[in-house]
Amino acid sequence: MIQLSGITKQFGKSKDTVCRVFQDANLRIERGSSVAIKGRSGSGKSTLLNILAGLDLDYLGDYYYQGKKLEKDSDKIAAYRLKHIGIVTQNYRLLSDRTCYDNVAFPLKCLKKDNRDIHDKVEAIMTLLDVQMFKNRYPNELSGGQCQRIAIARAMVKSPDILLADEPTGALDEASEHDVLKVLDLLIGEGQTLVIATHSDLIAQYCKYRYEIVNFKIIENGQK
Amino acid sequence: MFHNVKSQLHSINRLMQTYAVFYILSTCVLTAFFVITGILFTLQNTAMAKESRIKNVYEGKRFYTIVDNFYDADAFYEFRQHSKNINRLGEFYNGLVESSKLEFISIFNQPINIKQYKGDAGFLYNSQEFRNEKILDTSNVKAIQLNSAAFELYQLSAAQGLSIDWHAVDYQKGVLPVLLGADYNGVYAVGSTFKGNFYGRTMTFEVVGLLEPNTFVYYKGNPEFYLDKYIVMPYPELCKSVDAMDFHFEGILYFAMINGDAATTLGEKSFLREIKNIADSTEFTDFSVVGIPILSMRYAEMISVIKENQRLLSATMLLVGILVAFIQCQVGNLILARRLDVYQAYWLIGDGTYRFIYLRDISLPYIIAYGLSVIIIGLCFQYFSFLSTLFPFTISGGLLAFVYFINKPGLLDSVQGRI
Repeated sequence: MIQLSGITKQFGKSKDTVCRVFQDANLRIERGSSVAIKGRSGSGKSTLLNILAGLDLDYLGDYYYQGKKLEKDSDKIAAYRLKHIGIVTQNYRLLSDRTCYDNVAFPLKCLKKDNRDIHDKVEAIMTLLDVQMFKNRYPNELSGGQCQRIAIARAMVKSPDILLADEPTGALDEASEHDVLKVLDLLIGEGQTLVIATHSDLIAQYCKYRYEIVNFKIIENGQK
Repeated sequence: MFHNVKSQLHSINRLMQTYAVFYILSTCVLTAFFVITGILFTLQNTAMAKESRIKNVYEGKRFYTIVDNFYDADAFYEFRQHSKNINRLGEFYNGLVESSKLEFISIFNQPINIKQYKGDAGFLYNSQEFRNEKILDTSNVKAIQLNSAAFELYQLSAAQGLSIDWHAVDYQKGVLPVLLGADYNGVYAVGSTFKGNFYGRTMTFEVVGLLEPNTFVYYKGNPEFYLDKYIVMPYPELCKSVDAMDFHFEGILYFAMINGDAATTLGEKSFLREIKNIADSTEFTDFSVVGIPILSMRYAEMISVIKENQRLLSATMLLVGILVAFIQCQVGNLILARRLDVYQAYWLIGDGTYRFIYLRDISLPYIIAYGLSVIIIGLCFQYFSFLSTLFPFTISGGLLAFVYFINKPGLLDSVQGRI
């Protein structure tokens, strides 16, 4: 479904400051698969997710979606992201001035869905992820784990082709982490295509495929 | 659609609650700025219009005054006893106004005595402190008489009604068309008439128009003699031959008319030669010509003062503008920093409208301040004009665009970064 081909990415420009992350790296993600990208901090996990999300366009190589090469144009990639990709970040990125319901409904409004459709989909995903009791509350009234579940609901409400999660439990305590893992497990069980960047072996165990970034390449490191 | 509007309003409401102090401060700064720039712009416009008008009147011309030589009251009385003398006087005036080499500007402020006058004390010629209203029901009202060259030179035009129809000016008819100064608005309307006594002759004055506000002429050494409180009477275009039996009125009127200023582009010698030719042909020689070099000095001074004022106004506007632009850039930057998570959320989802959302966030104080400034300028200064509302609008839009484009690179950099 998604293929990265010949990716070369580095930070810094002068010889002294250059920091290479990928050198001619490749990655293929099939529909319905769950992938964990493992590695220590600074190994390039988030960079890979940024490239997959189209948030980072400053790299060499090609990005294919369903066999079609994507243009490196920020507005076109944003439209692609809106339609096909759900993103969950470590710090949730919820709209603090809107209720949880509005936060979850937000991508559908951006996609200009009609109100009935929005209502049905939001209710359904909030019920599925068991967060409907928070729908009239604002993000600052919730715990970290509850915010992350809302963020996952927001990412999932548009039924994205792929869900990208960057250290989804990185900022959570053990109990909250458990809640989030339950949600991720549920999604994997439902056949959602999922890519998780994590340093946690526990989370990686939930995924079918595990990759590591070694010598600027993305290497498969086990299957479930 | 309704839900979208409701959602936007809700979002703005939350925004206002969160950043109320911020927005209030920003709105106050902008309102003060727009009011100041609106006023300065109006002043600047007025100064420019004045400069242009003064240049039109005085630039490139020499001014001379013509005065009669009848300093002795008996000689003056004796001269006016003969209709032939008055006709010579009239012909001399006609020669002056018909000369193609000069413009003869005749102005005199002879008050009119009006019965049951409607205006307040500000329009009266002399003090009313010792006036016994029970005995007198007439008032000496400020009036100024001008010939058509004066009207043309000072570009006197009616803001309401019509200008003077010079062919209709006939002192023999007893009805005279007059213009009123701008302050007469609300006292006498266009079309109304009143009776008054002018040089002993009772006449009916018909108001044909009201002058533009701040209309001025050069009179008695004053380059800015304002006519706002004056009744403006036209002199006849030419002096007619007088009735041999009744010429007392013309005897005074024609004297008043020949005492005037001549504006010319000629050199002094050529000018005096021209005046001598007119005097010789009309046989009226009892007059003197006085140069008024002080006028050109005053003219230069006036232009210099106006230019200084314009420079001062421009400098003030520029400095205030820079200060406000700096403050607003900082406010825009603070809003960006505080709302970054919101813009990032938009971008993360794939919605590129975060730029519009940022513009909306920073533009609220501009919209409110613009509305307030128009109201304040209108209410406090009683001044509403298309330009005075368009100027703050342009400044507001320009400043908003400036703040947006200054902060845009920071916005793109912060938002379109990585997860």
